[in-house]
Amino acid sequence: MSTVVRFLEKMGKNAELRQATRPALHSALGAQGVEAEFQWAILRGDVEGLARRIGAPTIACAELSLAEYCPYGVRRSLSTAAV
Amino acid sequence: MRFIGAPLPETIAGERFRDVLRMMYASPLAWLLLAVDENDSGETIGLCGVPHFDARAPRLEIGIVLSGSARGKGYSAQVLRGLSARLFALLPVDTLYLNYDPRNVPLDRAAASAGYSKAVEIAEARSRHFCRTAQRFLLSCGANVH
Repeated sequence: MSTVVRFLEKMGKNAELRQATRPALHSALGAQGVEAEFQWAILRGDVEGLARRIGAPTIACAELSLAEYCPYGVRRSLSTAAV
Repeated sequence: MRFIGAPLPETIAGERFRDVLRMMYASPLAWLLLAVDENDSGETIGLCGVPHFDARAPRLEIGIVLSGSARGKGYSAQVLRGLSARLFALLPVDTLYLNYDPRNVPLDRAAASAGYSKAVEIAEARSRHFCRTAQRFLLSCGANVH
């Protein structure tokens, strides 16, 4: 498990590997010792399957837009910003 | 450490911590991390900030971690309001967002209290958040695999 997480983090930082061809990717996965089931999911681009196998948690996302925060379209100055 | 997940393997935790330190001291700043102090006691009770900070980004993720003793006192909402106000005042950002475990009801309430609203469906949030680097990588992979 930690091997695939480490590999994905490495890939995230490495544009060259992100653009790699499938054979090059397969080779990199093997060289890093990523388990076969994770290799298969990565090569297929199966995000959901990979998340399920890794046990990635479900995440909620909440947003605050400037328009909602400051409906008149004027950014508040620091002196008037709510604390 | 409720709601965050199982501990990371020591080597990965160490690598991530070093990454954060490196980004905190990078120029331009790449990770904004601020201490949360209690007004009355002055005691540091947590951290908040902007991971993957980019002063020109139109959209920024914010985060907050409070110590166990500081929970349940309404501090999360105060921190979110204060941090949001300053980011909107100082940066050209249009949207702030917060990713969290949906079982974290106190943070869900704090976010709502600070004006935040649920932005995306859980499944979409999951695919957006899950191992962000992995997501970028996999999408890139899907688009470029020959």
